[in-house]
Amino acid sequence: MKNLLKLEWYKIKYPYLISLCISTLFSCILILPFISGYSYNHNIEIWQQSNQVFDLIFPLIAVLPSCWLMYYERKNNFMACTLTRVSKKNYIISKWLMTSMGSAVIIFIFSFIGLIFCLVVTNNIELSGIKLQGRDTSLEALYGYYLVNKPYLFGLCLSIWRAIIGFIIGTLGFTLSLYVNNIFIIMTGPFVYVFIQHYILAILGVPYYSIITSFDPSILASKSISLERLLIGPFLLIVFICITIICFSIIKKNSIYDI
Amino acid sequence: MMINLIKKNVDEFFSKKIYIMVFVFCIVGLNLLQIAKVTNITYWEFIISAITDHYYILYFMIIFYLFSAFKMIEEDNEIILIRGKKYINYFISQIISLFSISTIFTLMHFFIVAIMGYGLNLDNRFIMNAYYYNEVIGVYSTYFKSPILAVVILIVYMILGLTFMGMVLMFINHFFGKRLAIIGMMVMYLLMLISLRTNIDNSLPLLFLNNYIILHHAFAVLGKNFYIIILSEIFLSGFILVIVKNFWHIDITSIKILIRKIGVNKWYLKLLFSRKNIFIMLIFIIISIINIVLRHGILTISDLSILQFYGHGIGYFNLIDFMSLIIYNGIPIYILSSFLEKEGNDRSAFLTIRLKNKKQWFISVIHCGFLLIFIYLLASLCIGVVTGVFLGMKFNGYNYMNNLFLENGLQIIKPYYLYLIILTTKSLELFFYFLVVLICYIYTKGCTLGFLLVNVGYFSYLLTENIAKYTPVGIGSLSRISEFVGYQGIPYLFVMVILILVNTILYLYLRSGVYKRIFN
Repeated sequence: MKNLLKLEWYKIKYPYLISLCISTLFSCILILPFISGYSYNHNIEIWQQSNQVFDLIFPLIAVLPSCWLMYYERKNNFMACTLTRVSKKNYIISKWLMTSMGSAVIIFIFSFIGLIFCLVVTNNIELSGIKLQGRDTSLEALYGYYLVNKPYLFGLCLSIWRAIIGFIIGTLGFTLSLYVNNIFIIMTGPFVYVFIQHYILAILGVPYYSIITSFDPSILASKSISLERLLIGPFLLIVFICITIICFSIIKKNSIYDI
Repeated sequence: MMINLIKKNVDEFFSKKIYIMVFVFCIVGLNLLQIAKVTNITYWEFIISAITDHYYILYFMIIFYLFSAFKMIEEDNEIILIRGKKYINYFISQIISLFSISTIFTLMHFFIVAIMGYGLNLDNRFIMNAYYYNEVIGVYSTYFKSPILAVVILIVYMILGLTFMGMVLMFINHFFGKRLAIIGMMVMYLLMLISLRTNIDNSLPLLFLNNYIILHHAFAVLGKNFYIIILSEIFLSGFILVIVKNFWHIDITSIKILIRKIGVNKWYLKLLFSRKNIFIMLIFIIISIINIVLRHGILTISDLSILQFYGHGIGYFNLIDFMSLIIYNGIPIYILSSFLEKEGNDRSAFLTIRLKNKKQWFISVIHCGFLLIFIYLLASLCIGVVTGVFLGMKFNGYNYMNNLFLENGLQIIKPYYLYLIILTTKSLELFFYFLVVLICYIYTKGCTLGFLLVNVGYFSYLLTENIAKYTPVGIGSLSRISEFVGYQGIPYLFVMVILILVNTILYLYLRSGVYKRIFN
């Protein structure tokens, strides 16, 4: 298993590292235009505000670096060569772990490094939010105490939570790459899913159940956010993944090992 | 021969299913009879009110008539044709059978009510108190001296109208084939319903066939000049007869205007307009319309069309609007991208051999892409209008958008101009995305990059206002055009110049030979 994981890592090393660098850089640079033009209570809110750009595209960041792997191996029949050496289950599980862990790590890193960069760069900037409103409204947010007093801990926990969501998104991408023969659908499937799910839930009047809200709770008013509501988005996503697997493997009977 | 054919047609029409009509009409008649007894109207007025009940006519009678007569309309039996010696003879005997069918059909209605109304006051005059309960009788009383005259004329009018409708369908069926005849029938019927629910037919009364069948609809749109409709009926019938007499042998069904038979268009169109794709498009159009209807109060149809294509403007951020813009634009692009990807996967040497030259591939792709985009736009407009009609929205003017126009000090835009703006800007914008995807596809042999580029383009909304105004991504939204939002947008002509420029550059670039790379 260890060797298999190592093998997978060698395959995706360069594209993965490049996209990791790009997304981290992007998340740092994106802090800068958000410094002025909004009223903040605390420095960490600049990071929260700038992260709203990522809310819609995080599935792409999670899926693009690694999910193409399975598709190409199925397409050029490399999978058939592995049959004699490794058990099917082990090979697929190691690939799944690599892809999904890759998604989780990339999301964790760009999120957390963005926070560190933000707190370091904007350390000296004076914020006028509390003066204007007369009180600290940030305390009303979910875990507002930690948000105000321990920004690093808050950011770390949020980033880990995001990494978990990234893991599930990566799993969705991996599931699609197991069964679909169209690379375009594999690459953009999770993105389209997240997008449409949020859109439909927002129309239905329950945007707090969507995966985007789970990813970034600060996009909605703090009244409508609670821990239970945040758990529903990932839950729906897992249900969707299960439905996809059942649909492809049992109803449509697409097989993984021949193309 | 003629008489036998007519007999056969009439027999076919009045088979057992006619009892359904009798049953339904009896229920309608009984219902009206009760009202008649309460309101104390005369026998003849009751007959008028029953025969001209336009809900019954539109929702049941015409459907029944069309379904029963369609078999006769669409069949061209060769054995009968040979016996007719000339095609026009056959056509005329078909028309005569339509006429006799309509006559018997209408007279059946008349006799049913005539029997049913037995016992009412038999006076041959209009009683004034009826108008409070039934406006239609009031309308007839202003045009006719006595109710009997009105009954006779409206029955004749209805017979002529039904015959005319069948004749038009026969004409379409003969020259354009069965499929178009069915589509034509549906369009005709939808137009009738639209005309019933709105007052759009005031401007184009001759287009809506209910004016040919129901006399008081003709009164409503043309007043005393209702004879124009009869004249146009006669004129059009003559026109159809002349065309059929002289050009009956020309077969237009083989000339397909939309699908040019070059390259591999047929295969591409089959891939693009698969059931799944059509389903996806329809679902999202309907979702977006429901979303608009639920979120806003009283709307008119023009309001609905504007809101459908309103998109997202510069200088503010509204997540739902932004997402619906991206989704609306994204769906055709997504379908086209996955189509290109699939096309690349499935294209084999056999296909390349069948193409005469590489250019045909390019033309086919462009052609099919544009067709999909345009049909998508038309479908969303049509679904919007039809939903609006069934929700009872008004056709003319604005309700919701009026305030917006007044706030910005703008002129109110006429509907025709509005639809022109929507169709041109949006189709060019979507075509621009398609060209971007196509270029990326040619260079990278995959559509993901192109699709991502298009979506990354939406980040241009974050730029400063003066630059963001002119970026071609999202420029087709009405909220970016100054005719709708004032100084925040740029004029329609300028938008068109930008879009045409961008599209031409990309198209010429592709056409200059870049597309040949795909075969390497």
